[in-house]
Amino acid sequence: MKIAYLVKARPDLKARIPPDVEGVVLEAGPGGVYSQDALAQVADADAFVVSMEPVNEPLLAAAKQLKIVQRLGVGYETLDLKAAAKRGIPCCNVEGVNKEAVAEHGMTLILAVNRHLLDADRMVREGQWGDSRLLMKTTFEMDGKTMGIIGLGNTGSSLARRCKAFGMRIVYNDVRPIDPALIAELDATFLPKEEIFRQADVISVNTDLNETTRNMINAETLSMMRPHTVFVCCARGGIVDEPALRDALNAGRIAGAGIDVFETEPILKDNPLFSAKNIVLTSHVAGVTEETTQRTFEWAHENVRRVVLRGEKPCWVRNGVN
Amino acid sequence: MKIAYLSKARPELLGRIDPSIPHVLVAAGPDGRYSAEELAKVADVDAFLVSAEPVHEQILAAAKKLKIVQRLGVGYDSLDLEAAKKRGIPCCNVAGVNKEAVADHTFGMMLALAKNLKEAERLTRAGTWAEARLVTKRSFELKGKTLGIVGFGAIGASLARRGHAFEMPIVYNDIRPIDPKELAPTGARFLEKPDLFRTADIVSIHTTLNPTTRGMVDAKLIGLMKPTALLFCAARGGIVDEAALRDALDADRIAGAGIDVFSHEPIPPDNPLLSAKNTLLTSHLAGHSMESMKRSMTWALENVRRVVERGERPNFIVNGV
Repeated sequence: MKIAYLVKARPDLKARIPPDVEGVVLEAGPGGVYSQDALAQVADADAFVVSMEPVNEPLLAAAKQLKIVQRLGVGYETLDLKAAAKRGIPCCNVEGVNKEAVAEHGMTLILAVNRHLLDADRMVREGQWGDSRLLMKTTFEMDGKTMGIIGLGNTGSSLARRCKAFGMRIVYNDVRPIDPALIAELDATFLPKEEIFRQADVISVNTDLNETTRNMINAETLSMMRPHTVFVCCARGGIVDEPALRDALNAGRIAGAGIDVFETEPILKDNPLFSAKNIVLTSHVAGVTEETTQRTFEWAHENVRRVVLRGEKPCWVRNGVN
Repeated sequence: MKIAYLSKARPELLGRIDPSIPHVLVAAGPDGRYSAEELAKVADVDAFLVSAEPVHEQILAAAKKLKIVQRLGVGYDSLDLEAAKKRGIPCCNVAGVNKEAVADHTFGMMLALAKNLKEAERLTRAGTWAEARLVTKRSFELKGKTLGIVGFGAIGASLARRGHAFEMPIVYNDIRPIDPKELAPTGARFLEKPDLFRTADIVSIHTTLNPTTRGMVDAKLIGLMKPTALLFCAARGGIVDEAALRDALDADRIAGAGIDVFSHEPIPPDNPLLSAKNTLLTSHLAGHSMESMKRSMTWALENVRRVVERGERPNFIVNGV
């Protein structure tokens, strides 16, 4: 079976291609346009296995034997779901494959920001022991504090479970109805988003990127938060208005932030968050650990085999094709 | 009631002193001894409220009206318990006052090291996106990794709760028998120390500093650890042999360490850990938070009042008086 891997900037990928696969690795050019050469190479591909490269109409049109578009991850906003559906091709992600990893990274950012771990380490090494202790002026214990989670899906609920063990009270917002058993397990309270911004001591957004969530975190919503609030986002760039977050941090309107995802990735040299105070930045790695990379790869390929080799229905279809 | 605060003049303490209680501020010299001037200050005090200054025979003898030595924290290795006991003076700490803060800090260090956060952040800021993402090849999930806790007291148990929620099997060692009710919520299993160091993926030290634990985490114990394992200590400097840890890190015998406490504080420029590979070092901050600092002072003052104003027995006695 032939798979076209639509992947940029993962030099380790070729070595992972399974032995039963004939693989080509392709990436889009500027503006998401694939070269003639790339389009020729997908002509006989049975499947796309996609990192963050776009899957658009010209690419789909060139892939005459395509049976499935399979994301190597959870988010799928770079796939043209309708264009694929028109051709009867299922677009699939891998649900839940990295939920614990994303939750762990979220907590890493929360604790690193609140407890000033990186700044303290730097100052200890620079001989500023006394001054480093003054960093802790706004540090708070998680115990008894309120954790606000916007988007209580796989990653949001995994994070909530972990926060609960730190003694936190969970408040959440989600547009979908949530399983009552989960709510009971977390002892969680539903709140409108504005109330979460106003009340929570730590806030995490764990939603998709879509028309409703784009720029959810903006100057207005940031101004509802409190001076000691810690905000983290490991979900998608575009949810946070980056200049607004930079301004809020530098004016001390919130205490700190941890951000793993950016409006434009790879992050541009002039991203406003580089000049923000009290922020920890990582490069869209929250879901990426050796374990999840392995697991994602395996689940993605298994789903492809399901369709291409066994003619079965795939799991995790996101564009209604069955 | 008159109190002597035994502390260097640090802003975070001075901001919390109750101005309505008559008090003096007393500090030792670099050799740990008090000058005649400092000793004179304590002649008529009822209580010592002790930050990091030592309490020994010299200053006890000068405090003729002393009724209690009260630590503004949990560790009490800076108090000469016998010297105070001989004078019938209780030495007290505020056990449990900062367990959540220490557990938060230690767990934060664990996550930061497991995710290679320092390196990941540095490379992200340097704009080398692909290189920054490749750091993940050396990162791991805590889920499924064994957390080994040496010292299952209030802080160790708080850490265990967090590890359990992160789906880590918990093993522990403690010289005291632990009530099964304490262990049940996390399923923590007892192991002898060598087995714990051999099998745990993450080892965290939460004992007091005393003659048994001084130098306990030595080359031998560290040598038992897995090459992928991480070591953490936010308890007391002096428990971990710093040169041995540095050697193990540099020879890749263990993968990394997070240390908040050092044999000498402030950390001197020649501390071996400053030049060791893959370490996260913080300045005795683990117990700090807005709440714990306030709570320490509240609990400490309340305990002092019990003795001095109400003639009752204090809580948190650590020297058997």
